[in-house]
Amino acid sequence: MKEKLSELKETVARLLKDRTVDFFIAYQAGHSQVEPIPFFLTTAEHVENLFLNNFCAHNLSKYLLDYLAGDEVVGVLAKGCDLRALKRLLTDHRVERGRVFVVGLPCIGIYDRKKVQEVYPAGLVEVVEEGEEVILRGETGDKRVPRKEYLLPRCLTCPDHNPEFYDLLLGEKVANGPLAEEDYSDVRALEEWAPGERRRYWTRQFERCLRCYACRNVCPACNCRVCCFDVAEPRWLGKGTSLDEQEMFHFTRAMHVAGRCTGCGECERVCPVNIPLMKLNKKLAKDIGALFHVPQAEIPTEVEPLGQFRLGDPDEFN
Amino acid sequence: MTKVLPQGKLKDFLKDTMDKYSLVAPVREDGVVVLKPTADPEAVVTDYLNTVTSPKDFFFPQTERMFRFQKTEGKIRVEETTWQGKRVIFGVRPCDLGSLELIDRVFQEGEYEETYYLARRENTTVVGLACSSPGPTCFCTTFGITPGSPEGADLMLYPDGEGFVVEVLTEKGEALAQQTETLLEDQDVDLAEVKGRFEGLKVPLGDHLSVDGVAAKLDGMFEHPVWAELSPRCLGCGICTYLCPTCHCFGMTDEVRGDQGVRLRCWDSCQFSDFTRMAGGHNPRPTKKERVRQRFMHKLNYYVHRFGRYLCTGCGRCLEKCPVGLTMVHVIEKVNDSGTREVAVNE
Ligand code: SF4
Ligand code: SF4
Ligand code: SF4
Ligand code: SF4
Repeated sequence: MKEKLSELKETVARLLKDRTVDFFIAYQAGHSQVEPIPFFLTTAEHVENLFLNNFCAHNLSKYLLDYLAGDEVVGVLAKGCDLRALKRLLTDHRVERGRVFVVGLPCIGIYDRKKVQEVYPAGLVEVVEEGEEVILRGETGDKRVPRKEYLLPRCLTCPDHNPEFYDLLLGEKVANGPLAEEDYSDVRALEEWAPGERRRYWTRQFERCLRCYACRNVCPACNCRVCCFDVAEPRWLGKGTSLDEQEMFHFTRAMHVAGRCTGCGECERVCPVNIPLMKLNKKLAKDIGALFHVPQAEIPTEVEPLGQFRLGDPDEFN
Repeated sequence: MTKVLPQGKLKDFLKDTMDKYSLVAPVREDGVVVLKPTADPEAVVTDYLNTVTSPKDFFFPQTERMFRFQKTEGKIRVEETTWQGKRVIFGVRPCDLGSLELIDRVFQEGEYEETYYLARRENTTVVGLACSSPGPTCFCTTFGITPGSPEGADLMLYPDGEGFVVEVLTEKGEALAQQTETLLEDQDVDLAEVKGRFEGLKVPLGDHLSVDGVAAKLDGMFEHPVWAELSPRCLGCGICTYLCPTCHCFGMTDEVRGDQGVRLRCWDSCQFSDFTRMAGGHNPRPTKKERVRQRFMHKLNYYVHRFGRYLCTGCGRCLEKCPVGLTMVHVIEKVNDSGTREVAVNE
């Protein structure tokens, strides 16, 4: 991805100079190689600080919600998964297509910072790709590891590495198709457990939740004008933390994004205490797929499986 | 002679502790190390850089049930909750020891004392654990804390060879040392030398980051463009403030069901969009710019004016966990780099 940096710089500088966009959202270097961070560019001079590598995980299109009130045209860099998130916002009629300028970024997978940091707690200098392997080059030496094992989970099952649509594409398209089949093995494993065991597992997870709402705040499907958890009157969710309230939060959110979740995994990625939120989302996606006969429940469509009414519904809710 | 706890006796130390105290200690759970009440010494770990959650949770809990109330025959009966028990918090790192002293000032100094907090402080014995290898996110030395600083601990453990060199700092620490005395060996170890070794450890990030003059510079930076530049990427989540060992903002709320209810004091975060929303809908901090500015002005300026110290101990949690790298280090660097000319034109 790095190799596309100079093309990105030229592109963004041009878009800002000729006023195609009012500002552009991309990435800048963070505290270390493994943590690039979002970057809001307002002038062409800013392009010197652009940064790109295979740790650029953040879905930047969620930020569009912060600019609904104005009339700026916002440029945004989008990988395949980010485009699905943007499609979520467009399909939900939250963002107008005409106010977004999409620079598409073909992507062969983003590395999971947590997994890499287990191998290299500090001092990672660069990551070099060599086919199915990567070399993690650190201050103290190199480590050669299988590429697939260090990718974010979402990248393994990503159906479309090239953004579905864009105003401009950066570089060439890459070979498409998921690296691994989505077999919901995580969910199936949990389904095998005895109810009591499952209960203990989820209790431990929810009790650890801080209710920091980072999962909600990054989620492209959580795009309500006012979130029910932020409403003081009536109070749908108590301010206090307890297992009841945490469950209420998680079940409400999971059900509210059911059928609309894009499978981006951003919620799980940002959770500071490792709550396996994707297990909830995947369970719902799997069930929706099976019950409503949708092959890919996580790809936004104009008519959502749970957002329509059909007289011939099998109605298995008894 | 210096007391030493051999590595092999650590579990027994925790067991003996539990005879008299309830125990809160670092436990590894689903890949993260959290501070948690535990009754199982086997579950306690010591191989962490720092715990994800901080010890403030056990003095200033996320949800404090202050009192219950009930209406009967036109009268309201109020039943105050009091915290009882003796507790030990084990394995607190020097940065987090320092953070307790910072929150103490808020809840202790001035006209009102915060009795809930102080009751927990009084009845809790804090066991500190010096850091053998500071990590890439640590910058305690920026704030004058070192990997060996025991300030804030009742009893301090310095990992050394096959055990922990023990330093007793307070009466509470002395009581715990007596409780576990059969496990502590008197050895010919030079405590000052051991401490010196920890105090001298390199903290790469902290050693290069200076906060000198930052508070004074910020006096003139309320309207500085830096806030508009930094804030757009913020998610407005609670990660930084909830994990920070020094953040201490809260809100009060009554939960009422029929004739009875409970008053809760809950953590709140200046980064949440509804934090300053008033009845009637006005919000004096309407955008991320004002909220992000508040977080850093409070820590690097307002608190300094009130209490003479920075409200950060360099624990590195916001570096490790903020999803968008809007961290204390980044902001201090920004302030250090920001031109005085810009400062001058702004009020
Ligand atoms: S990000 Fe994690 S800790 Fe925060 S509210 Fe979501 S599940 Fe809870
Ligand atoms: S619920 Fe999680 S995986 Fe689904 S769209 Fe939201 S952030 Fe992405
Ligand atoms: S600074 Fe980071 S952790 Fe804090 S509210 Fe913003 S995004 Fe969340
Ligand atoms: S501001 Fe960040 S580094 Fe400082 S004490 Fe809080 S979490 Fe730790």
